[in-house]
Amino acid sequence: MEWTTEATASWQDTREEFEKLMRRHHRTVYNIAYRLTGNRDDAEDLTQEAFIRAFRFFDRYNREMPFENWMYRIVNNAFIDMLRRRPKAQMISLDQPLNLQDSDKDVQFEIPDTASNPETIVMSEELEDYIQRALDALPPDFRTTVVLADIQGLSYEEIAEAMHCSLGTVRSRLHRGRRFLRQRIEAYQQARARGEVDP
Amino acid sequence: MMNCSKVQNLLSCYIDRELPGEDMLAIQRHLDSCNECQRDYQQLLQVKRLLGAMPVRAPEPFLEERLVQVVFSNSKPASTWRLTIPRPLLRPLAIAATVAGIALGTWYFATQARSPIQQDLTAVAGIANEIDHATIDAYLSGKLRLQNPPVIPAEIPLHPYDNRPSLVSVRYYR
Repeated sequence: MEWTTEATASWQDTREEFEKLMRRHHRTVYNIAYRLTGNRDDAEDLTQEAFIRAFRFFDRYNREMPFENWMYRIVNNAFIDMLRRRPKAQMISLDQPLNLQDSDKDVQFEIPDTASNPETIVMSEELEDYIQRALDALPPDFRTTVVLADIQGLSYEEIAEAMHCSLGTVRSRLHRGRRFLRQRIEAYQQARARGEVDP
Repeated sequence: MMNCSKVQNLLSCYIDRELPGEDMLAIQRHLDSCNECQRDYQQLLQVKRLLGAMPVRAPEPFLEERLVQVVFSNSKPASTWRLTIPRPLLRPLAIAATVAGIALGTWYFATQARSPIQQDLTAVAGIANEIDHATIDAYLSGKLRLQNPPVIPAEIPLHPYDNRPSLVSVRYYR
């Protein structure tokens, strides 16, 4: 009789399965991480941290759930932890009134016709930058909600699952997040028109 | 009835089609006749479309391999230990374990503290716990000799059904 460790063979299987999933989905995770953090270095760190945690808790992954949906929750938690570790960045409360001049309230975006198929919208780097900066100004929970809804295309139910909150909370955050983004993007464009902001 | 305030609060849900059919229709009707809400709707729709049109940011090529390196070097397999018994030994071992279990159980019962009558009867009749009627009859009729005769009251309660000495009462007499 002898004592043996039977762990080695099954760990290898787990590792192979996880590696396959990671290689398949890491680009999607990175894109979300980029939109959440606003820059490449942080996006890489966040992606890495998310997958480290995912592998650690892989035995809790329910195979019936799409792997990406499981990752969204992990990314969200890792993102919040990442922000907690940093000195508080300047973030605008959604309740603060923005400095909008009434006469400019109806300024239109300088964008191609949005009535056309959204997939054919060609976005300038400048506009992408505006939008990313507006996203960066959103509080984290609102930012994640908007990113998951409008960039990743998740349903309200999927978002609620990823963020561990109620449907009502998803609705509220998404609606207020979008309104905020609209005002921010307009504000940037007005400031730029007045020559106050570098494009 | 959908007023402007209510409609404006529901516009995101309307855009995402996350409302029941009748609400969607009611809002649609309102938007058809209200310029202010229609403008609000168009602007919110613009935000959604712009976000959806943002280019997908791709990671640098090195990230994939770095992830593999970092993720798996950070973890270790959980160890579990197991006793491996060679197959030929399995059956004899199982039998030995059962026999040992029975022997242990019997020894345990035999040495447990009991009332004197039980101990004597057990020793004589080899009965672990129950004292059957035959044994009691044998004792009462003098056919069964006990080393330590218990003090049994003159009247042994009779079983309500068959008038035989009650098992329970005899068991607990000292």
